[in-house]
Amino acid sequence: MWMRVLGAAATVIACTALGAGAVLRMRERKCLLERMRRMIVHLRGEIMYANVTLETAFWRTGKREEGKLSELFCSVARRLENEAGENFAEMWREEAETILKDTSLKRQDMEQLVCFGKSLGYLDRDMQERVIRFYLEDLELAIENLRREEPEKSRLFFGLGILSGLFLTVILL
Amino acid sequence: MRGQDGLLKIFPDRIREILTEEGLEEKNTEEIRMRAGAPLIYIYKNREYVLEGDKRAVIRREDVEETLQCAAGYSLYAYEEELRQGFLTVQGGHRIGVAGRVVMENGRVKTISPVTFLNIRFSHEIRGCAEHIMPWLTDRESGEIRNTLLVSPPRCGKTTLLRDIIRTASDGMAGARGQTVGVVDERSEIGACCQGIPQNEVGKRTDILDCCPKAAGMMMLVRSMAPEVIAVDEIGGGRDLEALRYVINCGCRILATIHGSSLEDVRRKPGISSFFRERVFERYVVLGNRCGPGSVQGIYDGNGKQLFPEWEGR
Repeated sequence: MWMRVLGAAATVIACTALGAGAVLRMRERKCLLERMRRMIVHLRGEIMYANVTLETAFWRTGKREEGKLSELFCSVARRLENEAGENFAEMWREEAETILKDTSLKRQDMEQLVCFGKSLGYLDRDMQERVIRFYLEDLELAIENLRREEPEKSRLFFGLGILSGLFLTVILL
Repeated sequence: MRGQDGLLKIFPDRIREILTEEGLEEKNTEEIRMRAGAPLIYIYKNREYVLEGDKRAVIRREDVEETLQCAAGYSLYAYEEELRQGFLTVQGGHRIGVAGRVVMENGRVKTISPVTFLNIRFSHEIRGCAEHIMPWLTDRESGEIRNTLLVSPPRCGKTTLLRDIIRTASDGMAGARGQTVGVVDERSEIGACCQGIPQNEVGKRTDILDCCPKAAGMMMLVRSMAPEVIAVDEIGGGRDLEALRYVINCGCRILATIHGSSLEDVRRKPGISSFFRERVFERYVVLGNRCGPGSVQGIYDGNGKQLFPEWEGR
């Protein structure tokens, strides 16, 4: 009997934890996107006001933050410094896919990020301003959607976790 | 400091391979020319090489564009103003001249696009080339540099000599006291600044206003950096001369260069002639290429009396 109770409790807890994990991933994604927005605003300042090269802009921006995004920016700056004669968009894509692969960012976020790198550094300062503005708009939209959906989805994921745990318990018993 | 890596760094992979096979050393490479649809040409140890037989060495339009992007660190926007003037100075102090289709806006050059011709000139500073003339340019008692005008035809090394005089005066060598030097480097030729950092040695007491018009730059330096010496390359315009007067009235010393084949040639130029009458400059250094670029043909005092070489003056 006790074994059954323990098993049921473990199933409910595990399913609830799965729901909580989904909520945490969603919050982490929101945090990452917000941090990315902050870093891109900073990058815009470096490019538009200080008129520095991408290498310096990425380096300075990367040094102001922490975590995976900072690692991405500093890593791209290092590659630009060493200049292996490659294309910048390719460099950016490779680094983004390597460094951010285990984060909570979705495929759509990664696609936007890679697309941003394709146009960065191309043509004049007006072009940089536009490219950054478009990416910031994408980020704003994603953050806004997450903010709007967060309370609802949090409840949903938690609820689904608990309910699926109970459901499994009933079935198994 | 600079090996082959420094030279290759500004090229994309395809061009790197070709140059690696040619075995060029940066210190002996003077110029590399890339023209879309034409073979790669380079000048090495004063000799021109055209890679005509090699099909791979025919430059494609993408090669020119990629080289420009690569050399500019994928940040052409940061070189917008320089590009408008037809050149950019990249890391290492190398100068890339560009040509192609010019885009105009309101009667002004907006940009050059597409760029289809590149002339990459490698920077080679000659440290110590001014040391033998410094005793003539320095006041023996105070160790201060005298107001000096370098006169030279094009490609005779006046900027190289000016750079070394700046370095010597700034570091306090060859009889000169270490002085604060302000440099207005309108075309990034003296310091070869890349993103504000001098790539050539200009001395430890030197401040540079890079890509700044000479007249405005001289005024700014006097107001902001309190220099003892101000150095400018290729003076000539009325506003430059006005600014020179202002700087001298503020008590700064002047190091300047001007295009000219002789002292007489410069003396005849409108504007600068009044400087001769007023003996503003205490020393004139005339350069030529009789014994190779950068050879000093004569040093004269403010009255035009030849001081060096002394045997010629007698």
